[in-house]
Amino acid sequence: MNREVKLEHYLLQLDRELKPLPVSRRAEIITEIKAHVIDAEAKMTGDPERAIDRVLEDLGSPKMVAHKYLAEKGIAVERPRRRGGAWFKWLAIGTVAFFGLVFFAGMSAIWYFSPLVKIDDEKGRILLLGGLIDVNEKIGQVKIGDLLVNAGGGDGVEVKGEETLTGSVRVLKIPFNTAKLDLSVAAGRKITWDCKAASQTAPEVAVVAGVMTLNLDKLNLVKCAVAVPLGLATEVRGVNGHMDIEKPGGPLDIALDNGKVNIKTDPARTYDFEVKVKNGLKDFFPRSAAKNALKVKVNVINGLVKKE
Amino acid sequence: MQLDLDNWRVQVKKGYLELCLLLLIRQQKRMYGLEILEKLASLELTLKEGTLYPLLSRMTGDGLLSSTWETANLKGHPRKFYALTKKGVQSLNEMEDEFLRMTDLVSKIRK
Repeated sequence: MNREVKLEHYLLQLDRELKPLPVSRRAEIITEIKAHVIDAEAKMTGDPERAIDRVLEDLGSPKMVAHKYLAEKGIAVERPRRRGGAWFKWLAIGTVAFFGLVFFAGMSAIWYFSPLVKIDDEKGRILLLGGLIDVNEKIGQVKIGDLLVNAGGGDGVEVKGEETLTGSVRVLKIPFNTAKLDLSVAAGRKITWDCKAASQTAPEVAVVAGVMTLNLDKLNLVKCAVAVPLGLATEVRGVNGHMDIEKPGGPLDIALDNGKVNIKTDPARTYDFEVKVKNGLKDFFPRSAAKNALKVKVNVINGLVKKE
Repeated sequence: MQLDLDNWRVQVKKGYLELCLLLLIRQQKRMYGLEILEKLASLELTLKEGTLYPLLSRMTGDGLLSSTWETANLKGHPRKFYALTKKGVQSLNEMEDEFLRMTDLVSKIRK
């Protein structure tokens, strides 16, 4: 086996053993261990061909490392139960190992070769988690695994609606999961949405104690254009997706796990930006202490935040 | 006796290791995993990498450490740097006091 295959094999095993943890935690651990291996390998003296073996040996088996992570998290590790005779165990190990080798030699598990976030700004494309999430702006689509969020129109069921803003509403909350979401300023005092979803499900709207929730969470693979009345504070919580924000006219608070956020600012306004990207890139967003500055908070875990 | 001594060592080392880690990171301001391992090795405190990373992860989760990913240059790979949080600094001060009290007590009894 060559170096890459050995490393990927190790990381893949580690990932499997870490199954009780959420995928974003696993990705973080895998990335850190991979960074460690690359650094440690470069510092190894002696036969460079053997360096990877020694680094992986020093780390300990993926199972052992994973168990330590889980133990530190207080997750009890399931002990495998013994079933059948020893011959069965060895037959199983042999079969798995054989197919494992064939698989790794052939496929080399492309997943982990690519970095967590890959950004090609010129082509307007970002790949997250090794291509698991693919935001392609040129053709206007977001792909998650094999699922396609059709952002270019065409297929999908149209779901439109509006809600008049009453005086008691102070905050609008928009949770979504896997979507292309466009936010703009509404002409009047109405919140309007114009969505294309994979199925006919209307978004849920609820008002509780001054908080209006426009829940897009259940409309999987949706493309939505939402217009928000001027000055209304808006909170968006997204898992996977791509957001285009046109001239924010009220305080914004956006949290997105994976994806891209584009912000087109209104030159007539002053903004106080607080933009954080854990893994990925962001443009320069100025802060402002001005009294009339609109607060715009963006938190992206994996992805990109751009300013237009 | 050998086995009992090992067991005792494991128990003592757990808390002591966390203390040493925090001390080291405080002294160096910010460090990444391999850097910590090398520094500890030079101090003759051997720690398996498979132990260090989960420990760092837990201490970050507990709010003692903060972490940031940084890439040295465009072609380089990212490294995860750890630094003490405010809570980490406070906890470390308390741990330090406690530890000094303990060693003090041991030497008093030995006299």
